[in-house]
Amino acid sequence: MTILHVFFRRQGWLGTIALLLVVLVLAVVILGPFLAPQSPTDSVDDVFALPAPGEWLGSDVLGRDVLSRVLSGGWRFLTMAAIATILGVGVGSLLGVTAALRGGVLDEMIMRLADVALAFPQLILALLFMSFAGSSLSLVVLVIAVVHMPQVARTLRAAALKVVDEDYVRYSRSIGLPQWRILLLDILPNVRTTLLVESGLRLTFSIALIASLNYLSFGAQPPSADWGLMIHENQIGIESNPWPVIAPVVLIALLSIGINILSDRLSRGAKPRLAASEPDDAA
Amino acid sequence: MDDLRLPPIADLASSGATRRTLLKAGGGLAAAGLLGLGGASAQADTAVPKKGGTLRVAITGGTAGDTLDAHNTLTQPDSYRVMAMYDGLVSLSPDAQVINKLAESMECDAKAMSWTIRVRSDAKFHDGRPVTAKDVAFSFNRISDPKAPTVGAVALAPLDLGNIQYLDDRTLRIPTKVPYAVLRDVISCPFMAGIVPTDYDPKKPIGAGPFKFKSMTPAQQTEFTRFDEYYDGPAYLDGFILQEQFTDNLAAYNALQGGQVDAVANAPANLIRQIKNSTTLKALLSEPAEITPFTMRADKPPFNDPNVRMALRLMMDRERFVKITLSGYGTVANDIYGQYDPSFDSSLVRHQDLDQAKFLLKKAGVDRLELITTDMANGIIPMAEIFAQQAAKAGVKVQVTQANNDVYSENMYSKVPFSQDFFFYSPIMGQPPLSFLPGSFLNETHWADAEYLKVYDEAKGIVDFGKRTEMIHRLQQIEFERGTWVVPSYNSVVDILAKNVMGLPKSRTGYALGNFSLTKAWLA
Repeated sequence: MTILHVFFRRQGWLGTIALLLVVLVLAVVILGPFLAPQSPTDSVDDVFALPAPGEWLGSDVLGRDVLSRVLSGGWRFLTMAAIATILGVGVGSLLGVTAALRGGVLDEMIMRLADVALAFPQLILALLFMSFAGSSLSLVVLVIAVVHMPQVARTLRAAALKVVDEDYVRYSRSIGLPQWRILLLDILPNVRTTLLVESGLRLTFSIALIASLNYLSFGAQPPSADWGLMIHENQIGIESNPWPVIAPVVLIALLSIGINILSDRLSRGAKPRLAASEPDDAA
Repeated sequence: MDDLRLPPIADLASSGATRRTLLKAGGGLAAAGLLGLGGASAQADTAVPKKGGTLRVAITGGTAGDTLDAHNTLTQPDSYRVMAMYDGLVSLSPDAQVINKLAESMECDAKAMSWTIRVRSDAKFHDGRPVTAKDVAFSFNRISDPKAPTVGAVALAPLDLGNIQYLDDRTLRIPTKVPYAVLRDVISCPFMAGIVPTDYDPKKPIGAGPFKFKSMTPAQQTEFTRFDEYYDGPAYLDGFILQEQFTDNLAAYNALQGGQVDAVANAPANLIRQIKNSTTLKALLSEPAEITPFTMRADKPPFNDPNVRMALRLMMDRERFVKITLSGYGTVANDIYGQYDPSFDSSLVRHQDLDQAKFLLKKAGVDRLELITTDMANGIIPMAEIFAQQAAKAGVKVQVTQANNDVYSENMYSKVPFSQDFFFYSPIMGQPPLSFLPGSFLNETHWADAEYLKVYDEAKGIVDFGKRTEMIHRLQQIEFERGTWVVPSYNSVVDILAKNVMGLPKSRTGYALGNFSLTKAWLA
């Protein structure tokens, strides 16, 4: 029985399709740069040439091979999204769980700051940061991570609050275990379902935000092959050759849909390690 | 005056030249202009013009510093605002010839030591007052004010404005400090030397141009109404609105498709293909005229080394540059300008020489450059990217950094070592006062070549056309050999119009909307 069969039995057809979507796009992202038939930054044809043998998706606004740019334009994009998600979910989780565990003034402070940040739409908040601090790839990652933190902190706090009064946590406290150990060993493992769902959600938000920022020229700069930037650069020629816009849009959509469904299916299958129960909708 | 003239635009159309042969010729005739006479281009309007309506023109490039000042323009929208409201003594016709506007006559004496200027009797300002000789003197003095010199100050520097004689209300004689035979050429730039009344206040601007100012919100829109007493025939339109609120050309194009504007001025050339079969839109294509030079500061390393400047010129594949960045709607240029000037030296042709470029760059130790630019004119950013692509083949990595328009115009213009700029067509002798003489307002390359300045000084005083042409050829030779611009192309300007926008002529000056001929425009 193959891994796919096992996966299908546990997650159903929807989860399997989601997995296949994610694997497909990841394959494009990882193997793409090695399979690109042309240089992604060299002009090889007229601008917005239609697909033809050898140029299967035609050319873009500067006559560059669209297929090569699509194949080369995902790894940085996805790496940025992944790092931003890890940072945002990591720090946000710690803040949320710490707030739940410690309570009192620290809890109030973290949550009120989160409330203020949550009052702004994510993209607006990101643009606000970037208009102050300028634009670079590392800054885009950092800004997106920071933008994620309040929502993650709030969600994880809600989940952790249901765990902090459990007997095993009380016991750990009573025997004088340091709080960082309680946090890491008792609480975090028991909010992992929420963490998993949140990570999936945040990854899709990261993808959308990075695409948006690159589209708005805040992140990747020309002549980089980047999916978000490609949409921005080529939208003026969408009626001449739509592929430079359609291809990255489709890949971003497939990846986002796949990650979303997959994280949802996986979270339903995950069981808390010690806690008696934990709601899926901890937010 | 000069009697050598290029054939009018209409004659070019029947010359039988093909785009391929013209591209190969590397300048002169207008390949894209010929294409523009058919296909997607605006057809000649034969219907009877209709009065009324307001033309809404979308244009990008506006900034928070947008101005209405007749003599202090920087951006494209500034230029068009000024052209709408003010007229100069002379200007450029759609076929790039210097023609009288407010001047009824304008002649220098045999030694070019004085200019006698007579203003038209029917010219009026927007408040109804006649344009007089005193207004001309006031305008020239305002342009040249040593405390606040403007774009045209260097062009008027040879005039002895302290000793103007008034022959009558409409006639004045301006002595010159040195022989100055090219005054008509240097003030033909239509946004540089507009005539304003003696009590001129740029906050309540009054000119003698075809449109009156109504309102302005910087970087958003400016509204004008027709001036009914315009001496050259009032416009058919009731007014026009210059709309700058669009963040990019796509937004402007979408607005045009949605009927929110009637025209997109200076649109991307690749839109021509998209609207080819449109039932609601059409293109107006100029002959190649605008230049978008890469500008290198001669006083900053590595560009203070003429070898580096030469290497960047030699590495360019200009035909490919035109094909990609202009979708073929332009012609190859050879690092000089003024291609429709009768004195233009068409023998100066640059061929790509990658080996020599690599050699010169290696010798200078240059393998990395930063090109700081902004979306100041259509196609600028793709041009920078193609430049970087081509430079990579010569072994130099060019990092293209795109700055915000406002940040660029406030903090970077003329300060960064390597950038880009745009210029409309100018007669050859008109460009140096803007760009290459000490004090030139737009001398972003800080070039001060002793021989060049000496030759220019001499050329500007020569009345005889043939002798002056010899000097101009020497000027162009110097620019060709060690100038500070890389001019890879003469660009056709593309305007996308709603089908009901009529009357705009073809032109070869680089100004949008048929040399910005809004007095001829009408809405069907």
